[in-house]
Amino acid sequence: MNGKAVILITLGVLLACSASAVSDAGVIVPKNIKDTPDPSILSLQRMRVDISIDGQYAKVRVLQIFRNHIERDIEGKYLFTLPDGSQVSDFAIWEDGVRIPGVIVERRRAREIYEELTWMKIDPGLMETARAETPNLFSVEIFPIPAFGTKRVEIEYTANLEVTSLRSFFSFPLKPTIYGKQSCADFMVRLDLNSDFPIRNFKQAGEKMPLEYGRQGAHQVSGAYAARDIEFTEDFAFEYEIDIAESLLSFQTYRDAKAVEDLGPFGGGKTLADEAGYFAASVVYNLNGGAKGRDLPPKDVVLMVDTSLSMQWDKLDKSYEAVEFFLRNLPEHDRFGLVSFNQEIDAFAPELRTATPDEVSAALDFFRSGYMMGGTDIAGAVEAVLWMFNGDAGDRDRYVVLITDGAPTLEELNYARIAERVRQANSGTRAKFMVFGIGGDVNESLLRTLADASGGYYVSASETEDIDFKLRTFLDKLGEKVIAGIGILFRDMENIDRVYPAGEQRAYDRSLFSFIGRYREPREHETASVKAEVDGKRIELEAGVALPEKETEHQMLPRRWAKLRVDHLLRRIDMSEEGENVEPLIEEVIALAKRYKFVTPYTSFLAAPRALLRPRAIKPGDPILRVSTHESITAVVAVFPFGLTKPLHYIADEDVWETRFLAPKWMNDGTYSCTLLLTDTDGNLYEEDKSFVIDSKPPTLKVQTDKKRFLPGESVIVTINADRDTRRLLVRIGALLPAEARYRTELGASRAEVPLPPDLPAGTYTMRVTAVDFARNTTVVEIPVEVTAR
Amino acid sequence: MKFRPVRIDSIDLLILLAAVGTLLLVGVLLTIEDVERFLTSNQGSDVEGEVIVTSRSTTFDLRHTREVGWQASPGETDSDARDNSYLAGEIRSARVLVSTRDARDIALHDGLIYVATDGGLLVYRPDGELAGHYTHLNGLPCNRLACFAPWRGSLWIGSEKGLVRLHDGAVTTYSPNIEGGDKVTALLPAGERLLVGTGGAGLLSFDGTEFKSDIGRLPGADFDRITALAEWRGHLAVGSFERGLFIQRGAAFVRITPEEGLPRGRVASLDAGETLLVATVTGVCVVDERLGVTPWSRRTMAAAVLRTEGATFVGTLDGRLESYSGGRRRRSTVLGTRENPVIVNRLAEVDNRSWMLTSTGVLEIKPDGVLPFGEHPQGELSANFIASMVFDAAGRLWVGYFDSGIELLSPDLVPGGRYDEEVLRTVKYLYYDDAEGAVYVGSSKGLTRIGPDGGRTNWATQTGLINNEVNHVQRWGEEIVAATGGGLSFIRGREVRSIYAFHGLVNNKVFTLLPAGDRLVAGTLGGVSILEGHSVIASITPENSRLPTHWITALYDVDGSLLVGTYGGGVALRRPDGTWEELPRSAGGFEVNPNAVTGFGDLLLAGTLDKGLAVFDKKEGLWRFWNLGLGSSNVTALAQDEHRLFIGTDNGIVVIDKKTLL
Repeated sequence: MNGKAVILITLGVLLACSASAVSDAGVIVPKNIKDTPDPSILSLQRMRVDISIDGQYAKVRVLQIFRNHIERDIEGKYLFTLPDGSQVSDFAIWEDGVRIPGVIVERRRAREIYEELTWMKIDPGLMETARAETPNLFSVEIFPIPAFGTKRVEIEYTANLEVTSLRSFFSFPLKPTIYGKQSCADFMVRLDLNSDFPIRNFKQAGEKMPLEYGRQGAHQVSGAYAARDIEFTEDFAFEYEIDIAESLLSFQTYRDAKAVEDLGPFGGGKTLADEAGYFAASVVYNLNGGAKGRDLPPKDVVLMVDTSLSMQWDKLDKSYEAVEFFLRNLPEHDRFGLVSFNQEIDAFAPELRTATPDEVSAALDFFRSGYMMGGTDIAGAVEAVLWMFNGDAGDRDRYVVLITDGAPTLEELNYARIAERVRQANSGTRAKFMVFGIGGDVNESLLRTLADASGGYYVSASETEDIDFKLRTFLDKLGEKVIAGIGILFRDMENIDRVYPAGEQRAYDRSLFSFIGRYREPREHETASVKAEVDGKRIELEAGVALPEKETEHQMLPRRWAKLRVDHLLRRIDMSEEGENVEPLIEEVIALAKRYKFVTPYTSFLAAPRALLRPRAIKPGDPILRVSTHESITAVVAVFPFGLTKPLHYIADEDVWETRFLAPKWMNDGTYSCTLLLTDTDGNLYEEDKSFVIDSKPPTLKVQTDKKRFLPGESVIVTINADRDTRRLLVRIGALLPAEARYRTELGASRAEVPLPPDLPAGTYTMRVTAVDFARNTTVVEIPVEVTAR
Repeated sequence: MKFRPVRIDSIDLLILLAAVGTLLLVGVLLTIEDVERFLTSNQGSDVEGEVIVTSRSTTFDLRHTREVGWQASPGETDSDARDNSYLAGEIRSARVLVSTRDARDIALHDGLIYVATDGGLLVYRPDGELAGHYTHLNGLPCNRLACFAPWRGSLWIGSEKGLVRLHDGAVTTYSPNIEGGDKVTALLPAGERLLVGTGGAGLLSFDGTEFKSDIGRLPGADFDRITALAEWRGHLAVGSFERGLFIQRGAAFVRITPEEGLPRGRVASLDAGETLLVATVTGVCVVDERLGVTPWSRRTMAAAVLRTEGATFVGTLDGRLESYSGGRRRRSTVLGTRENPVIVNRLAEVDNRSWMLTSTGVLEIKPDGVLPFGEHPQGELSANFIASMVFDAAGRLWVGYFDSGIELLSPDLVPGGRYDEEVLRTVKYLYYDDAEGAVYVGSSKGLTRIGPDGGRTNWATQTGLINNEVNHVQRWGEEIVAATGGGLSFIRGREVRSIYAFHGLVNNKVFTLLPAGDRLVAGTLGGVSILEGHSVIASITPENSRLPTHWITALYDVDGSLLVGTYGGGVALRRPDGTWEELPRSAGGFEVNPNAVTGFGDLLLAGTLDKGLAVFDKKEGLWRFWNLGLGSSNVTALAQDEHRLFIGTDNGIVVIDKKTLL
């Protein structure tokens, strides 16, 4: 066929992907000039990051000022990659000294406004629930960024901080991933950490941004770091320990009956006063006095991995990463099974195998050599694999580790009935479902229900994030005694309204469990007791508390409660039977989301500064140009840079315009722009410049190790020069856990460190370096690595 | 004479500028003829006008099918393929199948109406009766014709492969020996010269024998891709592809860009009257005598303008004809629909009649609307860009188009059916499955099975396919295997199993398949993977073998050896024992189009991107490249029956007797 057959039409996806690679701390792409951030055009002049943590709940506020260094206005695209599990709670752009805030609008209304404004060439930044291709990516068009002028952008997000093994971890992503580079002329980060529980061993993860501490006590850490002309080479991250000798209950309240909430211009201008009081009762369990208590008895584990088509690409990569991590960390006295499921079920072995290194390696080979199929029958798969636990388990606990995006597409699709089928199937086996949800579009409602119903644990990760911390946390839960049946009681329960667990339905030793609820009337004296059960023994923590008439210190409590309420409602909606009236639930979700600024399936975050040109979605095609437009458009013509002028034809079923084209041979790999001309029913003509990427080559790699021979226990340092469009580099030596290579500015190359186990037998191992670019072209380079005996 | 750049040294430049300045001061403007005289008188002295020798001219009798044959030179490029000294052998049985719907220009010559199309030259009597259809087999250098100009009693045709003179039934092709000069986009007679606008070499002038780049080398002639030429008030106006409008004033060009008010730098059409009407892709403007620019029709996708005595017409890229009179729009005629758009290519006034040339044919503009003109040649194709071809058991040829669906030709090559629903519009590969008597269509919308009864079954990502871009299809045992842009899908009944790079494929983008007993060979963007069952057992890449490049576009079984067609690395042959056979490389490698390979006897045939049909004779060990008898050098698909070879290109199909190649 003529020309380059491998063409990626991007914008939506590729730009988003490439940008996310460099957008950790928020960047603006000067999109009318180029498709990557360029400090020589648009630099980050000033950045303020305010992190406040109150009761394991973080609020992060970011202010950025960008400077335009050229003599023309810039159309910018602001991109901010949110940490997983966090939620945008505010966004604003400043224009001519006026702060233009984002608002939460009912999703359908947001779409209408969005369409209207885009058609008027007024940009609304629109954030909806994360799409698979752009998980956690917040993006807004910004126009104009005046010539030689500045643009001020504010974003705020919130996130829960987990406690696992009495440790808590926080990270603000600053380090651009893969090959990005970002610097700031005037940077400051401020931290204000308050904990009801005593804390100790506060430690920053990196060394580049040492805090100058303000207050540092048993319940508080505050500090700041400021620098000029700083290049971001690491995240701002820290961890700390909860310093308790035994289990402890803390209690926070908030009530401000005169507080007024402004719903903004799209909420009809209404105002609300909130008469309710809010409380958070949090327990950190420490049953063994801080001892690790991990001399765990043998257990049986069946790993079920979803290999349906929806898991293709990063999800499957992450799944494999998780499977490998679990299996290689199982003690040899454990037994395991491995099952891949789609519309078929394929088991590594019909019976459980002992977790020896050889068996684990064979199981991983089995997983790699499988195939994908179209659909997922989660309930059927669970029913089929539970028989693997048949036989004498002795005292062994049984676990099903389910790794999936939770998108059932075959047989039973109703979530409630799936959960019930799983519960019934498991009634004899009583295995705990440890569910690792993968993907920005993970079906949390179903997966959390499966975990909760069996006394298991649920955690999710997007397909693009570094899941190491989550995997360790997840693994810690395997075999850990569950603190079950947790409930909270007040002396006057009539005064208590809608209490929700903040997170899991059950706790584990050395972890945090919280209830957040509301109280109707203030009480000077009240008693709260949290009851639970461990190994058949009841444990109870009780405290005298006040439910004050006015208490405004913990301002995040109402929002936290509202988020839990919304999550609860969404799960009820998801689990509803056909024909059930869920409209009242949806209305409540919308009302709460508007009030507290949540993005939900029914609401969108609409930031509507006077900015221009939201790009129409051009989806990836090969080599198809697809454009979706407003319904009034009557014709679309593409004017390509190589001389082709071609009309797009309209496909009514898909509501999209499309044409197929080929780039000529002489066009090298790179980014090009074409002009779309559109006419509407009134005869108006619109123009939009769009870029497309030709990527016809897999990544080229040059791989070097720091030396030729290695001793067991040493690390192999691998330096890799890869094409600029390489998005992921993975280094794997033999059957060892893989390491991801990261770009190092000072080296001008990527580097990975693969530690060799001290007991690794001498021999020649194959090191496989796998590179994947944004077009998903893959290159694998194999190099022998010689390990000599000590 | 070899090509030499224009040289103007500093003193000459001063003289030239002084001369121009003086002339402007007294208000006298040079005309085209003045420029010509000026240049002629200064050749070899003040300004070295560049002279380009016409490389070759070939003449054929239009009324007869020409004889075409091989270029018998192994290892050479196609640069000499135009030379008729290579003509040898007879291919009397050659036949061309094209579409003539895309009409580009119209002219009156010797009482007949000539229409330049994307599929050759159509000749009509004034009443619309078709009098002839001439293609490259009649002596035209190619079928893509762009423009006409009457000059010195002959009709001159601008084509994608040179300038063509039509005179007394004979065609002569003139090709300038300059890169990009072959593609003629605009013609304008200028006295003793014919001005030739090109798609890559700027403006040339032609005196009937030689091309010169003299006028195109004047100061300010900052254009290389020309879209339109006009003589306006005695001056030359040049529309460029993206650099705006150029007006020759004296011995220099003045450039008019969007900064001066031009709606867009891409000029589509010019109409010269008292003022100059300029159509650009985003509007029409008027240029006055003082080179002032005034908007005339804002925000219109203008493709063509025409002023007639009674009205001014604007034809647009979105298929409209706007009629204006008295400065107001009087009527708007809309052609095409959102689902089937039409582009207006040109408006012209010929034989005192107004014409509209569009992507779907010729229309005559009447006071009350437009009327289709002329009949199309019988049995012509629906489109020209052939993506794939396959014969079914009944001897019917299925022709898959790049973006126009599928056409079914009877054994005697008469079109007899169309499949143009959306899922079949953009065909990538057609496969006839003997076992089922079904045709499988790989397209950019997935895979479709058309059963013997015409029933359809579609597979896409929603129904289990790993990717919707299906590049190749093969039966392998009990399964149908789809090579897609995201990996391999194995289809057995309703079950679809898939693998991609995660499972070991050397690359996700799979272009070609070759079943080999229990094994399946997959050619990808990153090399070759060999499968047993659904597992990859080995991969072949340039890093671990003598494979010339990563991108594999075609695979073919040659007596148990693996013929590997590549993009950029030509063809390689891997013996069953894993060793590589040296195939003579030709012209530094070439691009084999996806799945455009076949063979018979001792011949291996590969369709190439720009070198025509590559033929390797195993007995001689020689490569030959054949493009003389093709409508295009881009050979995209091959098919054969017992006696005939069907060569699909991006400009129709050529059918030849296989004996011709033996």
